[in-house]
Amino acid sequence: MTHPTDRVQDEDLLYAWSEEELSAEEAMRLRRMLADDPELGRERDAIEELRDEVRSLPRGVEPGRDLWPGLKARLQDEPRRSRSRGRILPFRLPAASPAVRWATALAAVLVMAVGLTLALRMESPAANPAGAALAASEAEYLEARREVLAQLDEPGAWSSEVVAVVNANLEVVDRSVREVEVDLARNADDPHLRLVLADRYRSQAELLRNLQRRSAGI
Amino acid sequence: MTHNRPATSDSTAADDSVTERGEVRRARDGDLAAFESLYRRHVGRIHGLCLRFSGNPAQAEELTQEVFLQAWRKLEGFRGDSAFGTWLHRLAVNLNLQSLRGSDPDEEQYPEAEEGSEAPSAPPRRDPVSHVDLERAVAELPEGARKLFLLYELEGYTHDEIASLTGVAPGTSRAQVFRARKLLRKAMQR
Repeated sequence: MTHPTDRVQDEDLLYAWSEEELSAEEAMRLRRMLADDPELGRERDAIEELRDEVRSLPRGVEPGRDLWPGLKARLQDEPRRSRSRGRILPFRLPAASPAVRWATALAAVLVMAVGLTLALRMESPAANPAGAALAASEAEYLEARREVLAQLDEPGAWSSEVVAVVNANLEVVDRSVREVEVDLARNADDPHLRLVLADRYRSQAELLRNLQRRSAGI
Repeated sequence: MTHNRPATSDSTAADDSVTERGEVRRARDGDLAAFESLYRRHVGRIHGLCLRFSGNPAQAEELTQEVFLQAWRKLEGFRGDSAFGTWLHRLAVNLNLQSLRGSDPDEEQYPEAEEGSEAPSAPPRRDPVSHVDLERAVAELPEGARKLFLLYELEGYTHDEIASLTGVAPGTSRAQVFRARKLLRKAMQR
């Protein structure tokens, strides 16, 4: 009768065999064992079968719904690619006009806001779910953003440098919000993340409105 | 050992390759229709990978979108040295590994193999093994072992390649694949 410990060791040998990692000595020992133990032979066949089954699993698994419409919407929100191979508008601008300095300062504020967002995600204060606040903040932000983008499209309203900085800022904001949204999708019950996202939306909306107000003096 | 290489596109014909190169070029210039065509061709493969790695359909959909979003952003850097599908697949593997790293930092990903109680539970085995049962048993493997098992058995990476992708030693990869296979075997015996 085979001792249980020996059985485990024999099986380990079989798995090592399936990995093609047996030394010559171990391979010879396994061959002897297989000759003496039909049950071990059946186990070997089962391992082989399982391995074949795993490798025959279909690689492709279509999603349960069409993801393209959602993806397309997100892609359309991405910064427009320039003709020169989609370069993203730069953050650092060489000019130093008051308008550019002001806009660059706004960029710095936004970058700090994004950093704060990411840092806050590491904390875990007790907070209540804030779905309604999030929806309201998001709506406010999107409205402010729409207004700013409409102004940006007006010919000559702002200098090209300011437009470039604003676009770059919006890109940072989008990325920040998306990152939190991804976290939210993974941790849908986390009230803290919802509050962080709502707060970010509020802050960005406020900044965008300030930008609109100041645009008259730029 | 070389088995299923991580080549990723079913379309290996030369015509398809030429078509795909053109689509990549147009997508790089911002052509969403061309990118949609690339998406349609590869989404099953990418979603399959995300689903098996995450074990969660909702998260798999989110990860799949994220893979294509990243691909769109990074197309600029795709030089065409490899097939687009291979490049996209690598992007997906990296994103999934990142996602797993962030999923539960407290989880001990590579515990010493302790058999018995941790064997994934699976429905009683039918003969022959159904893909559904097998998929479920794979999904219930411990995360660390599952990740390495999928990379090795299904995605075709070698242990050395897995080591460079994940940062684990090749011996650890080997041991975890070995462990996963034993756990699967136990689960399918039930």
